[in-house]
Amino acid sequence: MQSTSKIKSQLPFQAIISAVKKLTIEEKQLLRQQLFATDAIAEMRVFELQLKKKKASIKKTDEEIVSITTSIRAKKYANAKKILY
Amino acid sequence: MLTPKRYCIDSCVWVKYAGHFKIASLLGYIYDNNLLVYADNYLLGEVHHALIKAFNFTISEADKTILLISPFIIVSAPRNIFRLSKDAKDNYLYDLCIQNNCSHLITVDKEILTDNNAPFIRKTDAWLKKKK
Repeated sequence: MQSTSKIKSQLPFQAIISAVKKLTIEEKQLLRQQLFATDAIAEMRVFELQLKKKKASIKKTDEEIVSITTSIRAKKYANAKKILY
Repeated sequence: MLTPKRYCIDSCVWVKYAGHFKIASLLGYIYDNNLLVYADNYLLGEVHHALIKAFNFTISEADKTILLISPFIIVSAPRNIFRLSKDAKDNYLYDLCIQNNCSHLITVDKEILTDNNAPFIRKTDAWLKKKK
């Protein structure tokens, strides 16, 4: 027979799991952000500091970045078109 | 709790912040404004590729960047249906926004920003920062 304290500690966890299973993708995402965003942002800051120390900073204007992403998108689109048609 | 807003962030914006080592601030805006941000593997692939090509990231650095932004995005797989953009290569981005009911697309691409036929609001990252 399970002790009362064991039942007490298991019940809320099971209730939480079943409640989480019922959430929509959007609700799960919001919950994930509420729970982990602060840690995730802190981890990203640490990673960015490491990158800053390791790499020379490259400055690019918005136009330059758009031109690069556009050329990548155009190439991928052309490849996909070849495969599909 | 604030009502969540559905947004899509174009690859050029992700690349701009990641390349200049400022992506933590972009993630901060997402968290502070309670945004639901949608992306697909195609868009994430563009970000990965552009970081290597434009900012000399190694593959593992680009991988880690994608890994660290993934808790802040909902990865969805839209089908290419509407063909509403002026430029055919941007159709997938428009479909991503439409099929996920996104109210806003954040981009710095002037061609998309000036497309008045797009059925969602187009804004720059500067606008997103001011919202805070």
